[in-house]
Amino acid sequence: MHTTKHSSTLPAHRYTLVVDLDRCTGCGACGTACAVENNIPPANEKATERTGTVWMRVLEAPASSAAGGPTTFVPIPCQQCDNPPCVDVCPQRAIEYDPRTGIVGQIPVRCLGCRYCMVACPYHTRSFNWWSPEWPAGMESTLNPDVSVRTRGVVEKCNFCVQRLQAARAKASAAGQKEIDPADYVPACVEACPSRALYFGDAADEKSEVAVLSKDGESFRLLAALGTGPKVFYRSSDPVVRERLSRTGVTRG
Amino acid sequence: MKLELSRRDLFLAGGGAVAGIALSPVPWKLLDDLAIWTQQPSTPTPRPAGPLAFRHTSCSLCPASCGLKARCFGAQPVGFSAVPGHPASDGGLCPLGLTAHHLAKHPFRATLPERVSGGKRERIDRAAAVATLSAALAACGKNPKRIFAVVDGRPGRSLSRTWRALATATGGLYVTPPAAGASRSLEALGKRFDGGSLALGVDFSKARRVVSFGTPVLTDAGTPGLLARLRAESRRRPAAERIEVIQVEATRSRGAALADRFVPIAPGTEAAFALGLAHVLLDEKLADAAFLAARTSGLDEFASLAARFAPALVEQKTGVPAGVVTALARDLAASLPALVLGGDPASAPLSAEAEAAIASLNLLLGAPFGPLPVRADAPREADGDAKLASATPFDALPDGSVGLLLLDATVAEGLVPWERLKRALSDGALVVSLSPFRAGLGEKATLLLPGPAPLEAMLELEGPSDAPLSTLALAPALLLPPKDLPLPEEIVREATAAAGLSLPAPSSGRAAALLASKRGRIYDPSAASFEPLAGIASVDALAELFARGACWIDDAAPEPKGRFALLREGEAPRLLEAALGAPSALPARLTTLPRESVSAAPPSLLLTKLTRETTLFTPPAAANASAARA
Repeated sequence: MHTTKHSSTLPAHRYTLVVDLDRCTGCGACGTACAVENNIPPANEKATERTGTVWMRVLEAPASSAAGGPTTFVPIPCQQCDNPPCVDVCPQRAIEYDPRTGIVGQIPVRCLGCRYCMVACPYHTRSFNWWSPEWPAGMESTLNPDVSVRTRGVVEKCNFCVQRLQAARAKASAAGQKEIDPADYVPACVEACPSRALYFGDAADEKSEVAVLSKDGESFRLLAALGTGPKVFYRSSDPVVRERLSRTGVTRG
Repeated sequence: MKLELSRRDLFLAGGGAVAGIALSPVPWKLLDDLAIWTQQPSTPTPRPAGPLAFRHTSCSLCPASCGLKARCFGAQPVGFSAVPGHPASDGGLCPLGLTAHHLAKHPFRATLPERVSGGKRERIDRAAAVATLSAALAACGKNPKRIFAVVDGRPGRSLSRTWRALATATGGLYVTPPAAGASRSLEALGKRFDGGSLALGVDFSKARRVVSFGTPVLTDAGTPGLLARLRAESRRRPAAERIEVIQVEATRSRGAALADRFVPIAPGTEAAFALGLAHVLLDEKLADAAFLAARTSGLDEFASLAARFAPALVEQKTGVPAGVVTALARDLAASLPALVLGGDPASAPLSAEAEAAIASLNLLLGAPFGPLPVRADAPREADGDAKLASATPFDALPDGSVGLLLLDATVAEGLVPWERLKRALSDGALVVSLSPFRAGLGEKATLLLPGPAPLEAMLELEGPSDAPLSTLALAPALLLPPKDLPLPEEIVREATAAAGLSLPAPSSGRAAALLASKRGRIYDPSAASFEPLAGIASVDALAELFARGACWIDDAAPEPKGRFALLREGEAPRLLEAALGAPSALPARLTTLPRESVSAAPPSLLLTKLTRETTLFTPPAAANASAARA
């Protein structure tokens, strides 16, 4: 059993995502908003499902009953583990666990592209940049100036839109406040979801919606037995879905 | 010993030094650094084009007309988010809307008129465009086989008056495509009301059962994400209050996969299935008797028609087990309010007979005025003395009759298929598209007069015609169009004048018409509040609100007096023949990205993230074409 390295020193804030699988229609708005916010380029013409750069992947889990119940779509960003296996294997210290927030950050300029982290991640949520990022002529003007563009040859992943957290901190600091207004820090995917399947907040605040939702009987974590301690929780009213996904996860390809 | 350094010694020392350095790590380190440098090509550096600001407008890409909150640096939007509480979208936004700001820079964007001549596409100047169009306009009307037709994807706008006047001046047709979503089945129901047509919408929040014959109610139709949200919220409530979606369809579409129950059915047998449900409802006295007695007529005739569709016969026709038919009918009756929808022309079109059977089924379930409320159209400018052509339905466009076809920029190929348009064209017809893109119908046109791209011009946006209440936004532009972009409406006016025809001056009286109605409320997204329209002092004040991204929403319409006919005159034999005869399926359309089929613009290239780098969606034709060109 993997030991939980950070379990004794849990961060002051625990930014947490809760995904309500009953609401997700697999529309792809979360992944699209993520790509717009984080300057992820359009797919290279040679890109496939395995080689593309996708920070928020939505996978389709089969119907929960033999009688053909509803299909479940499962959005899978980086699970922001409290005990992230990727951190331990990185020879460049290009992945950092922020003890103040619990966010697992990726530092592309340190990355040498060895992809050990991709092997170590049990959730397959990391992408390697096989191609130089390219946008059609003129479309560079639509890029988000708050996020730098990553080059070919490095690994990247979801960081809970940490640039929005920095902006919220700057706003709070300018207003002379120590803590950010929770409404100022909402990742792009959460903001975009039309069926409101995504909840985000600080689970260190016991009264927050995510703290309450993540603890109720319908919530679970993917591959919970591995002990990685993800801060992405899933909810489903279907016990078969809960049992299947928490035990086996969901894989692509 | 005398130490002397010869020239030879110097050469030896130099050579040794070079050899020594070559054997040291220094050159290899330099080479390595150089290799790394060449391996890391420069990447674009995003720079803010000005100070950060948030602006509001509405999305024009599909009929949902969702509210947009744009994050802009200077005049450049870099991202959108939905507007919570917006009357048209209530916080919903789809992938197309999230990437609307990319479209002005789309590789298929055209900024100059183009003409296809001898199979080759060439750019032409404004004068040549005017000359080509005026010659075609002058030739129209002289030959009944070469009439003029204009297709308007968003009727009711001020610009629509120009197109109607043009159709009148040329003796041509003003054609409107079918509305997407559930509108067809609602129209079929509205036509059964006493004294003509009654406009109805869908209010999912008032339904406990939603039966959909192929219409993607959970994914593509109506406000993005609304029904999925309502259904999920209802799952936390007692069983009696839960919303369930039953999808009846020949293929296991995405909507079918997400539905609570999927009923696979033989293609083209929808009318028989609906009549089978009606049979059980009437036979077991499960229909809404109070509604039938008070608000319908022709029950006996309909009952004798439905009596022929016993579940065993329906099983033979549709392939759906008789027990499933009976159980579904009983469940619907036990879970009122329930509603039935179908006939989305963009995904699963149905025959007129199937739409009629669905309308009758809604009456048996008492759906009108509950989950199917009455709605009024948004106020429009009165025609006054102007002679304006009335609308011709797209289905009624005669074959081989059109010599000049004008396609407005709002026409979506998913609702106006090119194959059907081609049938209407006569030999050598000129097809003019006002699309700003060399894609979809714009690619098929022989004369392309590109106008402003989405977000580059103010647009009148009415919400979908199947929404429970009408909405209207005069959505402000966020981007400047390219310099010297010839406006297609001006080219059309010049060509009309050159052809010796006259058009009324362009009008912009929509805000005035709305204000005069004194109906409804207006939502100001910057203040996140509603204000009664009657409280707005002037047209200028209203225009200023719209310029800030406001959206108007109508009041609930009163319930009218009158009755619905369960069967229209002469309908029973046709319905019987269609339901008992050989299945006649209309071709279902392949849906790709959500709402792509009802959008007049190609999707942003960023949506290749969804079509090529995930298995969520089938790659759309536009993305394939783009990849081939790249």
